[in-house]
Amino acid sequence: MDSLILPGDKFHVERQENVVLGPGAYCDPKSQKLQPVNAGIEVSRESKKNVFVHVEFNSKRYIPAVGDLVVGLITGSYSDSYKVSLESFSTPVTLSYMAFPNASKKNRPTLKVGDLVYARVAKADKELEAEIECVDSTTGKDAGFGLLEGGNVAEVSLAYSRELAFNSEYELLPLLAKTAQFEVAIGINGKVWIKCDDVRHALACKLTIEECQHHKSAEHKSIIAKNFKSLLNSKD
Amino acid sequence: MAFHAKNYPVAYPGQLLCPTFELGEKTETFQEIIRYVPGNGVTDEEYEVNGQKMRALTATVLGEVRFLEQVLQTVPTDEDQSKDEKDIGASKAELEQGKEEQEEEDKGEDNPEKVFIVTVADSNLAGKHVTEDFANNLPREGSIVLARITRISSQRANVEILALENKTIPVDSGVGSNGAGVTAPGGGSAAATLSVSQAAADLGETFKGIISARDVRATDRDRVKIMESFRPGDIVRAQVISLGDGSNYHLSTARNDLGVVFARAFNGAGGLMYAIDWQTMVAPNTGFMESRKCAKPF
Repeated sequence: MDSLILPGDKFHVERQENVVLGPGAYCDPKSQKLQPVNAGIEVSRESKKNVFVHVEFNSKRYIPAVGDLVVGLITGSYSDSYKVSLESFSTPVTLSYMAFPNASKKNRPTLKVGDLVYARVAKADKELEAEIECVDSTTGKDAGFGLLEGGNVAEVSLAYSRELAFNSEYELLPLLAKTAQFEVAIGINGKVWIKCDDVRHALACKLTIEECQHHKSAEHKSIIAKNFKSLLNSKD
Repeated sequence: MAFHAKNYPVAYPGQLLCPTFELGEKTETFQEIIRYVPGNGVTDEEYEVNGQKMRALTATVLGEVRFLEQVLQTVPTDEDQSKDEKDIGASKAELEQGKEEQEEEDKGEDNPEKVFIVTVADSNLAGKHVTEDFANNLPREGSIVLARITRISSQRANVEILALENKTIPVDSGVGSNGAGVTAPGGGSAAATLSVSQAAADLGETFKGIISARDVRATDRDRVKIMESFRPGDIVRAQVISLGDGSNYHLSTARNDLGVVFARAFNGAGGLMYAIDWQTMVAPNTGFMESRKCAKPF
């Protein structure tokens, strides 16, 4: 069921028990009333046991949630952890030295201030500073996390970064791959890291991703063509 | 007549109270010396009278003068205690006899010195459960304070001190107090009185404190999770373990009667919660449970 919902409306859920709340849904601690707190599209999914409800809404301020894959910027290093910024003007998060593959007390990771990392949000209590990790804590492997060398970062809205990361039918990246070869790391915090061998390709990819978030998928092809054409024709 | 036996109606700032010492009773064997020590609201000042310098205790605040005799500290032996226990059941005559013996013992000691602590305090505040006299009653090592959690991190909880629990003087001479000198926290007949800080919390005028994770509880200190012990906004009863640096007191809740006393569910958005055991609180209207390091209520 896809319908627009506004803060203060009623969710269209029949069952009242075993309702699992997602982003945008709020249960008032006093009255125990379930209501939306964000404006967007109501999404409810029912399984045998539970009803999952959330509001699909767009925003630009990232709030850490456990399990999110994020692109962060190292802004400081302390005795046992890094300070990482996921977004300008937001509270920093910590990345412990022990949250790396094969970490021990003796060997410290070699990241420096200014490096970009791809990481997973490990802890996100709202009263505490969030924690991220560069290792899959269940297997102990690196799972593609860690330093992002070179490349550049496209800043997109949060809804768009989710679309890029989770919607496998979204055509932008396959289309882009037809024109250029690139590596990409999509952060749910609205940061898309992209790296190409050719600087002009990298720049065109970044511009395309930033531009495409405001356009329909039918226009993506022409946007890609336009950006690559103008950059490749330019004389250095 | 000795100064400590005199009846002062009221003392005002600058009023002379007594000399620093005087000679008391004289017997053939010894001369008693009475020494006066300045306490709260009293200062030891030097005066010049007829070209001669003298020291005298002077009041610095308006209030009632009190002389508190300081008992010379002797370690009580088992014999003494058993005698005390007998005294309770003993007849009055025996009791008095016992007292005389005690006095004789005291006189027989080598130290013929008596020490009185002289204090001046506002008599209007005495006997009230809550006073505003926080300025004359600052937190010191061992003090019990009520504090509010302002922020938490994984290593420590930052608090602001709201009130100081005073040492109780049992009004009923200890008849109803449950315990020798130690009061029941927050209740009982010898209920504690509080000195409440009048500083503005929103201007950061209050005294700050830190409860580090190791000082939250007495057992399993290395595995304390602050998130499961305190939340911002909780009111905790804590003990000052050190004055710390100029900016933070160091507090501890590692005792049964210390910990969270008041808390609301969902960081204050929900209803008031009550402790059901030493690490769980429950909100009666919703039934939700949250984990805290609770103070033993009685």
